[in-house]
Amino acid sequence: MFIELLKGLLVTLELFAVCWVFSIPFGLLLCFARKNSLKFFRFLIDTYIWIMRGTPLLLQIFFLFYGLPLIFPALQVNDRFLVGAFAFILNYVAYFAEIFRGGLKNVDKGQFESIKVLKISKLKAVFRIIIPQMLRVCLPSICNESVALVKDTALIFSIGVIELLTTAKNIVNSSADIFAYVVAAAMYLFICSLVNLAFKIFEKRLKFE
Amino acid sequence: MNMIDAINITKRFDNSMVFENLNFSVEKGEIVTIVGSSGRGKSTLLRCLVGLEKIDGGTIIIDGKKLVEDGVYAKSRDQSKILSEVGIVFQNYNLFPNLTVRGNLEIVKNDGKKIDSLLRRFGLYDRASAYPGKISGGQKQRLAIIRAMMLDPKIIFFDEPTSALDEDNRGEIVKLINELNSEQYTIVVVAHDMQFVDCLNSKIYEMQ
Repeated sequence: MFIELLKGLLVTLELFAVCWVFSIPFGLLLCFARKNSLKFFRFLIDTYIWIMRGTPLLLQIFFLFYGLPLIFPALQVNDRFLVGAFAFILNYVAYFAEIFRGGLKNVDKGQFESIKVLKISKLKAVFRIIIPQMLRVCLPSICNESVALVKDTALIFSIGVIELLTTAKNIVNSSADIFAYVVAAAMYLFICSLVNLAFKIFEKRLKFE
Repeated sequence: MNMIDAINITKRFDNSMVFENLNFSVEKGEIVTIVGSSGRGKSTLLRCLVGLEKIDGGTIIIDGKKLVEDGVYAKSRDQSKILSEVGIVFQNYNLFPNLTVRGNLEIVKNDGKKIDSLLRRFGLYDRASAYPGKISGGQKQRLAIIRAMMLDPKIIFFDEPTSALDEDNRGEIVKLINELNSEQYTIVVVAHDMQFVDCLNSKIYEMQ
């Protein structure tokens, strides 16, 4: 049982890691693109975020795996994990972009004025001044979203990927013993606690003291 | 020779006029104070002179080079060159809180020797690794001055330099401004604190 659950956990962790690693930078990129682009692109970005946040993630996964190939047969991908991960990334990029937007709004206007007057290059300004100050504000929200992501990974079962929760469910169904659920819950709790801890450490380092 | 010439400059925000046909000049090496009650557009004028706000009409010449001529700005690259002659110390200092004292200077120009010598001269060498949130108001101001000096400007603008300082630090800032002026920096100060203005040996413009 444990080995099976560990295998399921590995899939969950893999999905979490892939989604997190791609969603954070793309969310940041989208946030800056939205701020600096023309009205039309801003409208496109806003529409994307609106759709992603306004429809269920489960529906988005279904749409990408079952719906899209019906409209565009060339887009048929048989790797269920890949399609699922892609759907997660699309969804979480929108959420992270909104979180970063809040962080960016919190950076004092005077910081941008200093950057302009001191002729600091855009790249240096973004990476060394703006992003660290944004992160300080939005780290708790990123942490919340990351914990939600750990638990959301279970939704990938809907397209037939066997992850931790589905593994536990299969074990319970075949053994008529709910202990596998308890172990799975403990595993989720452990991962979420680790994520929380990592963010708390990072938050402390961003105190600028 | 004039370091700054502002000729008939006009600035409005939407429909409200901040100043109209304002004329103003600063000679090389002098200290000029712009005074006036709040809401007269002193800080806006200063922001126009450092390129943070655009004027709606008139001409601005800095060190003989035209930043704006009859309301038309120079090309972006030329503007950047012209504005490299000016530095500003903001009212709230606008230091980068996530960078240490040294980091605030290194990000402008990574010149260790210059940074060390300025930090020593302004008494901040021992605080080089502290974050701005952990230094006093007077130290913050000195750091803001050093930061403005990093790009070797010819003109340094001060926006309400005494607004957040106590009596002792006020005296210190007068001393610093006079010191900078003796090194051939041209200084433009926006202030409403007349006690402070009286301590500066400056030409005074009043905005009405």
